[in-house]
Amino acid sequence: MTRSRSTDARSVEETLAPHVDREWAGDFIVELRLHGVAGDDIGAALAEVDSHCAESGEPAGEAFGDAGEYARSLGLPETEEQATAAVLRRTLPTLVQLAGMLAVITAAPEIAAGQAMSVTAGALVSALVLVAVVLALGLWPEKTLGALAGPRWKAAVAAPLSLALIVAPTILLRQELLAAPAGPSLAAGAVVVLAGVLWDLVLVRREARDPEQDMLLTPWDGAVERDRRRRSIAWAERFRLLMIPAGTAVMAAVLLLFG
Amino acid sequence: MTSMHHEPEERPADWPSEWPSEWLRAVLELCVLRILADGPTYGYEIATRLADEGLGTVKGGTLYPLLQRFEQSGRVEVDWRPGDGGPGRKYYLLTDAGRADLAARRAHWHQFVATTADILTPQEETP
Repeated sequence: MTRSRSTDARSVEETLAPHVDREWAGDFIVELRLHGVAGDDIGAALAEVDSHCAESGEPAGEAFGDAGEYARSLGLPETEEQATAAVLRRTLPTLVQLAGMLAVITAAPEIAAGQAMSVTAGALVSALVLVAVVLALGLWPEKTLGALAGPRWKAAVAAPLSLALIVAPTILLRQELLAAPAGPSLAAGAVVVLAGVLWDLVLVRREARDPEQDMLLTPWDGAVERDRRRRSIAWAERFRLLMIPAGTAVMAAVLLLFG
Repeated sequence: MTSMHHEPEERPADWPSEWPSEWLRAVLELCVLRILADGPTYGYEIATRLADEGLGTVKGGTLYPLLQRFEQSGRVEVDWRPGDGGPGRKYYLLTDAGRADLAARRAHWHQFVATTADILTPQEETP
Protein backbone atom coordinates (compact mmCIF):
# COMPACT_ATOMS: atom_id res chain seq x y z
CA MET A 1 0.00 0.00 0.00
CA THR A 2 2.79 2.41 0.80
CA ARG A 3 5.39 0.78 -1.37
CA SER A 4 9.05 1.84 -1.39
CA ARG A 5 8.32 4.07 1.53
CA SER A 6 10.27 3.36 4.68
CA THR A 7 10.95 -0.17 3.41
CA ASP A 8 14.31 1.26 2.41
CA ALA A 9 14.53 3.79 5.23
CA ARG A 10 15.86 1.63 8.04
CA SER A 11 19.46 0.57 8.48
CA VAL A 12 20.59 2.64 5.53
CA GLU A 13 21.19 5.83 7.54
CA GLU A 14 24.78 4.92 8.18
CA THR A 15 25.64 4.08 4.61
CA LEU A 16 23.93 7.25 3.40
CA ALA A 17 25.30 9.64 6.02
CA PRO A 18 28.14 8.18 8.12
CA HIS A 19 28.85 11.49 9.88
CA VAL A 20 25.28 12.07 11.00
CA ASP A 21 23.80 10.74 14.21
CA ARG A 22 21.81 7.66 13.21
CA GLU A 23 18.66 8.62 15.02
CA TRP A 24 18.72 12.14 13.55
CA ALA A 25 19.16 10.74 10.04
CA GLY A 26 16.32 8.25 10.62
CA ASP A 27 13.92 10.98 11.79
CA PHE A 28 14.92 13.14 8.82
CA ILE A 29 14.25 10.35 6.30
CA VAL A 30 10.93 9.37 7.87
CA GLU A 31 9.69 12.98 7.95
CA LEU A 32 10.45 13.52 4.26
CA ARG A 33 9.07 10.11 3.25
CA LEU A 34 5.84 10.91 5.08
CA HIS A 35 5.63 14.10 3.03
CA GLY A 36 6.05 12.08 -0.19
CA VAL A 37 9.44 13.54 -1.13
CA ALA A 38 11.38 11.57 -3.79
CA GLY A 39 14.20 9.28 -2.64
CA ASP A 40 16.96 11.05 -4.55
CA ASP A 41 15.89 14.44 -3.13
CA ILE A 42 16.05 12.98 0.38
CA GLY A 43 19.44 11.37 -0.33
CA ALA A 44 20.84 14.66 -1.66
CA ALA A 45 19.60 16.67 1.34
CA LEU A 46 21.05 14.10 3.73
CA ALA A 47 24.38 14.01 1.87
CA GLU A 48 24.65 17.77 2.33
CA VAL A 49 24.00 17.47 6.08
CA ASP A 50 26.62 14.72 6.22
CA SER A 51 29.13 16.87 4.37
CA HIS A 52 28.53 19.82 6.72
CA CYS A 53 28.85 17.67 9.85
CA ALA A 54 32.06 16.05 8.58
CA GLU A 55 33.70 19.41 7.85
CA SER A 56 32.47 21.36 10.86
CA GLY A 57 32.75 18.50 13.36
CA GLU A 58 29.34 19.57 14.72
CA PRO A 59 26.67 16.97 15.55
CA ALA A 60 23.65 17.25 13.21
CA GLY A 61 21.32 18.13 16.09
CA GLU A 62 23.46 21.12 17.02
CA ALA A 63 24.01 22.51 13.52
CA PHE A 64 20.57 21.77 12.08
CA GLY A 65 18.28 21.57 15.12
CA ASP A 66 15.36 19.16 15.20
CA ALA A 67 15.47 16.72 12.23
CA GLY A 68 11.74 16.97 11.47
CA GLU A 69 11.69 20.77 11.58
CA TYR A 70 14.78 21.00 9.39
CA ALA A 71 13.27 18.52 6.91
CA ARG A 72 10.09 20.60 6.64
CA SER A 73 12.01 23.88 6.35
CA LEU A 74 13.66 22.70 3.11
CA GLY A 75 10.32 22.82 1.27
CA LEU A 76 11.23 19.84 -0.94
CA PRO A 77 8.57 18.97 -3.54
CA GLU A 78 6.23 15.99 -3.27
CA THR A 79 6.90 13.34 -5.92
CA GLU A 80 4.32 12.38 -8.54
CA GLU A 81 4.19 8.99 -6.79
CA GLN A 82 2.18 10.73 -4.10
CA ALA A 83 -0.46 12.10 -6.49
CA THR A 84 -3.95 10.81 -5.67
CA ALA A 85 -4.24 8.68 -8.83
CA ALA A 86 -0.87 7.01 -8.21
CA VAL A 87 -1.75 6.25 -4.59
CA LEU A 88 -5.11 4.77 -5.60
CA ARG A 89 -3.43 2.61 -8.25
CA ARG A 90 -0.99 1.27 -5.64
CA THR A 91 -3.63 0.79 -2.95
CA LEU A 92 -6.39 -0.96 -4.93
CA PRO A 93 -4.69 -4.39 -4.97
CA THR A 94 -4.35 -4.18 -1.17
CA LEU A 95 -8.06 -3.37 -0.86
CA VAL A 96 -8.97 -6.35 -3.06
CA GLN A 97 -6.83 -8.60 -0.84
CA LEU A 98 -8.49 -7.21 2.29
CA ALA A 99 -11.97 -7.85 0.82
CA GLY A 100 -11.02 -11.47 0.13
CA MET A 101 -9.56 -11.79 3.61
CA LEU A 102 -12.77 -10.53 5.22
CA ALA A 103 -14.82 -13.08 3.24
CA VAL A 104 -12.48 -15.91 4.32
CA ILE A 105 -12.47 -15.03 8.01
CA THR A 106 -16.24 -14.49 8.04
CA ALA A 107 -16.89 -17.85 6.38
CA ALA A 108 -14.31 -19.97 8.26
CA PRO A 109 -16.01 -20.13 11.71
CA GLU A 110 -19.37 -20.93 10.03
CA ILE A 111 -17.78 -23.88 8.24
CA ALA A 112 -16.48 -25.08 11.59
CA ALA A 113 -19.98 -24.65 13.06
CA GLY A 114 -21.63 -26.21 9.98
CA GLN A 115 -23.77 -23.14 9.30
CA ALA A 116 -24.32 -20.76 6.40
CA MET A 117 -22.28 -17.55 6.36
CA SER A 118 -24.20 -14.49 7.44
CA VAL A 119 -23.14 -10.98 6.43
CA THR A 120 -24.41 -8.35 8.86
CA ALA A 121 -24.85 -4.63 8.29
CA GLY A 122 -22.18 -4.06 10.94
CA ALA A 123 -19.64 -6.21 9.09
CA LEU A 124 -20.24 -4.19 5.94
CA VAL A 125 -19.80 -0.88 7.78
CA SER A 126 -16.61 -2.24 9.43
CA ALA A 127 -15.26 -3.18 5.99
CA LEU A 128 -15.98 0.32 4.68
CA VAL A 129 -14.22 1.92 7.66
CA LEU A 130 -11.24 -0.36 7.03
CA VAL A 131 -11.15 0.76 3.39
CA ALA A 132 -11.28 4.40 4.51
CA VAL A 133 -8.38 3.85 6.95
CA VAL A 134 -6.22 2.14 4.30
CA LEU A 135 -6.94 4.91 1.77
CA ALA A 136 -6.19 7.61 4.35
CA LEU A 137 -2.85 5.97 5.15
CA GLY A 138 -1.94 6.01 1.47
CA LEU A 139 -3.24 9.49 0.60
CA TRP A 140 -2.29 11.48 3.68
CA PRO A 141 0.56 9.55 5.29
CA GLU A 142 2.01 12.59 7.06
CA LYS A 143 -1.33 13.31 8.74
CA THR A 144 -2.28 9.73 9.57
CA LEU A 145 1.08 8.15 10.40
CA GLY A 146 2.31 11.50 11.71
CA ALA A 147 -0.23 11.19 14.54
CA LEU A 148 1.29 7.83 15.45
CA ALA A 149 4.87 9.08 15.15
CA GLY A 150 4.13 12.21 17.15
CA PRO A 151 3.68 12.59 20.89
CA ARG A 152 3.11 9.31 22.68
CA TRP A 153 -0.32 10.24 24.03
CA LYS A 154 -1.54 10.91 20.49
CA ALA A 155 -0.48 7.43 19.38
CA ALA A 156 -2.00 6.00 22.55
CA VAL A 157 -5.34 7.55 21.56
CA ALA A 158 -5.21 7.29 17.75
CA ALA A 159 -4.26 3.62 17.33
CA PRO A 160 -6.90 2.05 19.62
CA LEU A 161 -9.48 4.59 18.43
CA SER A 162 -9.07 3.62 14.76
CA LEU A 163 -9.16 -0.06 15.73
CA ALA A 164 -12.35 0.55 17.74
CA LEU A 165 -13.91 2.39 14.78
CA ILE A 166 -13.24 -0.64 12.59
CA VAL A 167 -14.48 -3.27 15.04
CA ALA A 168 -17.40 -1.48 16.76
CA PRO A 169 -19.93 -1.61 13.87
CA THR A 170 -19.55 -5.41 13.62
CA ILE A 171 -20.33 -5.78 17.31
CA LEU A 172 -23.13 -3.21 17.42
CA LEU A 173 -25.03 -3.72 14.14
CA ARG A 174 -26.00 -7.37 13.97
CA GLN A 175 -28.85 -7.09 11.48
CA GLU A 176 -28.35 -9.74 8.77
CA LEU A 177 -28.08 -8.44 5.20
CA LEU A 178 -27.49 -11.67 3.34
CA ALA A 179 -26.69 -15.31 3.93
CA ALA A 180 -24.46 -17.42 1.70
CA PRO A 181 -23.16 -20.98 1.80
CA ALA A 182 -19.96 -20.89 3.89
CA GLY A 183 -17.76 -23.27 1.86
CA PRO A 184 -18.08 -21.55 -1.53
CA SER A 185 -17.80 -18.14 0.18
CA LEU A 186 -14.47 -19.14 1.72
CA ALA A 187 -13.22 -20.45 -1.61
CA ALA A 188 -14.32 -17.25 -3.38
CA GLY A 189 -12.60 -15.16 -0.71
CA ALA A 190 -9.36 -17.10 -1.17
CA VAL A 191 -9.51 -16.60 -4.94
CA VAL A 192 -10.06 -12.85 -4.46
CA VAL A 193 -7.04 -12.66 -2.10
CA LEU A 194 -4.86 -14.43 -4.67
CA ALA A 195 -6.15 -12.21 -7.48
CA GLY A 196 -5.23 -9.15 -5.40
CA VAL A 197 -1.73 -10.55 -4.79
CA LEU A 198 -1.22 -11.25 -8.51
CA TRP A 199 -2.37 -7.74 -9.41
CA ASP A 200 0.04 -6.30 -6.83
CA LEU A 201 2.83 -8.50 -8.17
CA VAL A 202 2.30 -7.13 -11.68
CA LEU A 203 2.57 -3.55 -10.35
CA VAL A 204 5.68 -4.38 -8.29
CA ARG A 205 7.40 -5.96 -11.29
CA ARG A 206 6.53 -3.01 -13.48
CA GLU A 207 7.95 -0.60 -10.93
CA ALA A 208 11.11 -2.68 -10.50
CA ARG A 209 11.77 -2.41 -14.24
CA ASP A 210 11.19 1.35 -14.22
CA PRO A 211 14.59 3.08 -14.57
CA GLU A 212 13.12 6.02 -12.66
CA GLN A 213 12.15 3.84 -9.70
CA ASP A 214 11.99 5.94 -6.55
CA MET A 215 14.95 4.99 -4.36
CA LEU A 216 16.76 6.55 -1.45
CA LEU A 217 20.19 7.31 -2.92
CA THR A 218 22.81 10.01 -2.48
CA PRO A 219 24.38 11.83 -5.45
CA TRP A 220 27.43 9.58 -4.91
CA ASP A 221 25.68 6.27 -5.30
CA GLY A 222 26.57 4.71 -8.63
CA ALA A 223 25.06 1.83 -10.59
CA VAL A 224 26.31 -0.78 -8.10
CA GLU A 225 24.62 0.83 -5.12
CA ARG A 226 21.48 1.46 -7.19
CA ASP A 227 21.33 -2.25 -8.08
CA ARG A 228 21.90 -3.27 -4.48
CA ARG A 229 19.11 -0.97 -3.28
CA ARG A 230 16.83 -2.19 -6.06
CA ARG A 231 17.34 -5.80 -4.94
CA SER A 232 16.70 -5.00 -1.29
CA ILE A 233 13.48 -3.20 -2.24
CA ALA A 234 12.44 -6.22 -4.31
CA TRP A 235 12.95 -8.47 -1.27
CA ALA A 236 10.99 -6.14 0.99
CA GLU A 237 8.20 -6.08 -1.58
CA ARG A 238 8.04 -9.88 -1.74
CA PHE A 239 7.73 -9.96 2.02
CA ARG A 240 5.01 -7.29 1.95
CA LEU A 241 3.08 -9.19 -0.76
CA LEU A 242 2.99 -12.27 1.47
CA MET A 243 1.57 -10.46 4.50
CA ILE A 244 -2.17 -10.48 3.73
CA PRO A 245 -2.35 -13.99 2.18
CA ALA A 246 -0.25 -15.45 5.01
CA GLY A 247 -2.29 -13.62 7.64
CA THR A 248 -5.51 -14.81 6.00
CA ALA A 249 -4.30 -18.41 5.90
CA VAL A 250 -3.28 -18.38 9.58
CA MET A 251 -6.56 -16.79 10.71
CA ALA A 252 -8.61 -19.19 8.54
CA ALA A 253 -6.72 -22.18 9.98
CA VAL A 254 -7.28 -21.03 13.56
CA LEU A 255 -10.98 -20.32 12.92
CA LEU A 256 -11.55 -23.65 11.15
CA LEU A 257 -9.88 -25.59 13.94
CA PHE A 258 -11.19 -23.71 16.95
CA GLY A 259 -14.11 -21.69 15.58
CA MET B 1 38.24 28.08 -3.53
CA THR B 2 40.30 30.01 -6.05
CA SER B 3 38.37 33.26 -6.10
CA MET B 4 39.79 36.37 -4.54
CA HIS B 5 37.85 38.07 -1.83
CA HIS B 6 38.82 40.99 0.32
CA GLU B 7 40.02 40.35 3.82
CA PRO B 8 37.70 41.69 6.50
CA GLU B 9 38.66 45.13 7.68
CA GLU B 10 40.42 45.57 10.98
CA ARG B 11 37.80 46.37 13.55
CA PRO B 12 37.92 47.78 17.08
CA ALA B 13 38.35 45.15 19.78
CA ASP B 14 34.89 45.83 21.20
CA TRP B 15 33.17 45.29 17.82
CA PRO B 16 30.25 42.85 18.31
CA SER B 17 30.73 39.33 16.98
CA GLU B 18 27.02 38.43 17.03
CA TRP B 19 24.03 40.46 15.82
CA PRO B 20 20.32 40.43 16.62
CA SER B 21 18.76 37.54 14.74
CA GLU B 22 16.01 39.70 13.18
CA TRP B 23 18.69 41.93 11.60
CA LEU B 24 20.46 38.84 10.24
CA ARG B 25 17.21 37.49 8.80
CA ALA B 26 16.82 40.67 6.77
CA VAL B 27 20.31 40.69 5.30
CA LEU B 28 21.45 37.06 5.21
CA GLU B 29 20.18 36.21 1.71
CA LEU B 30 21.92 39.25 0.31
CA CYS B 31 25.21 38.41 2.04
CA VAL B 32 25.10 34.81 0.81
CA LEU B 33 24.39 35.96 -2.76
CA ARG B 34 27.36 38.29 -2.45
CA ILE B 35 29.66 35.44 -1.35
CA LEU B 36 28.39 33.28 -4.22
CA ALA B 37 29.30 36.09 -6.61
CA ASP B 38 32.97 35.31 -5.84
CA GLY B 39 32.64 31.89 -7.42
CA PRO B 40 31.17 28.43 -6.83
CA THR B 41 31.28 27.38 -3.19
CA TYR B 42 29.57 25.05 -0.73
CA GLY B 43 27.53 25.47 2.46
CA TYR B 44 30.19 24.98 5.10
CA GLU B 45 32.54 27.41 3.40
CA ILE B 46 29.78 30.00 3.10
CA ALA B 47 29.13 29.68 6.85
CA THR B 48 32.88 30.04 7.54
CA ARG B 49 33.15 33.11 5.30
CA LEU B 50 30.17 34.77 6.97
CA ALA B 51 31.72 34.16 10.39
CA ASP B 52 35.16 35.41 9.23
CA GLU B 53 33.63 38.57 7.79
CA GLY B 54 32.10 39.29 11.19
CA LEU B 55 28.46 38.33 10.69
CA GLY B 56 28.59 35.75 13.48
CA THR B 57 27.62 32.08 13.51
CA VAL B 58 24.99 31.08 10.96
CA LYS B 59 23.62 27.63 11.75
CA GLY B 60 23.19 24.98 9.07
CA GLY B 61 19.49 24.93 9.92
CA THR B 62 19.26 28.54 8.69
CA LEU B 63 21.76 28.49 5.82
CA TYR B 64 20.77 25.38 3.89
CA PRO B 65 17.03 26.08 3.62
CA LEU B 66 18.04 29.49 2.21
CA LEU B 67 20.32 27.83 -0.35
CA GLN B 68 17.48 25.44 -1.19
CA ARG B 69 15.23 28.46 -1.91
CA PHE B 70 17.95 29.89 -4.20
CA GLU B 71 18.05 26.56 -6.02
CA GLN B 72 14.28 26.31 -6.39
CA SER B 73 14.03 29.88 -7.69
CA GLY B 74 16.84 29.40 -10.22
CA ARG B 75 19.24 31.86 -8.61
CA VAL B 76 21.87 29.12 -8.26
CA GLU B 77 22.78 25.91 -10.02
CA VAL B 78 24.27 23.02 -8.09
CA ASP B 79 27.17 20.72 -8.75
CA TRP B 80 28.23 17.77 -6.59
CA ARG B 81 31.99 17.52 -6.35
CA PRO B 82 34.26 15.17 -4.40
CA GLY B 83 35.61 16.64 -1.15
CA ASP B 84 39.23 16.71 0.07
CA GLY B 85 39.40 13.22 1.56
CA GLY B 86 36.01 13.72 3.21
CA PRO B 87 32.48 13.33 1.89
CA GLY B 88 31.55 15.16 -1.30
CA ARG B 89 30.32 18.72 -1.38
CA LYS B 90 27.34 20.37 -2.97
CA TYR B 91 28.67 23.45 -4.77
CA TYR B 92 26.38 26.37 -5.54
CA LEU B 93 26.97 28.44 -8.68
CA LEU B 94 25.34 31.83 -9.01
CA THR B 95 23.26 32.07 -12.22
CA ASP B 96 22.58 35.21 -14.25
CA ALA B 97 19.23 35.45 -12.48
CA GLY B 98 21.05 35.27 -9.14
CA ARG B 99 23.49 37.95 -10.22
CA ALA B 100 20.65 40.24 -11.31
CA ASP B 101 18.87 39.63 -8.00
CA LEU B 102 22.05 40.50 -6.09
CA ALA B 103 22.59 43.72 -8.03
CA ALA B 104 19.03 44.91 -7.58
CA ARG B 105 18.75 44.06 -3.91
CA ARG B 106 22.19 45.38 -3.07
CA ALA B 107 21.29 48.79 -4.47
CA HIS B 108 17.98 48.64 -2.62
CA TRP B 109 19.72 47.69 0.63
CA HIS B 110 22.18 50.59 0.35
CA GLN B 111 19.22 52.94 -0.01
CA PHE B 112 17.66 51.40 3.08
CA VAL B 113 20.88 51.76 5.08
CA ALA B 114 21.22 55.41 3.98
CA THR B 115 17.60 56.03 5.00
CA THR B 116 18.00 54.50 8.43
CA ALA B 117 21.32 56.29 8.90
CA ASP B 118 19.58 59.59 8.16
CA ILE B 119 16.91 58.81 10.71
CA LEU B 120 19.40 57.73 13.35
CA THR B 121 21.82 60.63 12.89
CA PRO B 122 20.90 63.39 15.36
CA GLN B 123 19.87 66.64 13.64
CA GLU B 124 21.85 68.73 16.10
CA GLU B 125 24.02 67.57 18.94
CA THR B 126 22.40 68.31 22.27
CA PRO B 127 24.89 69.25 25.00
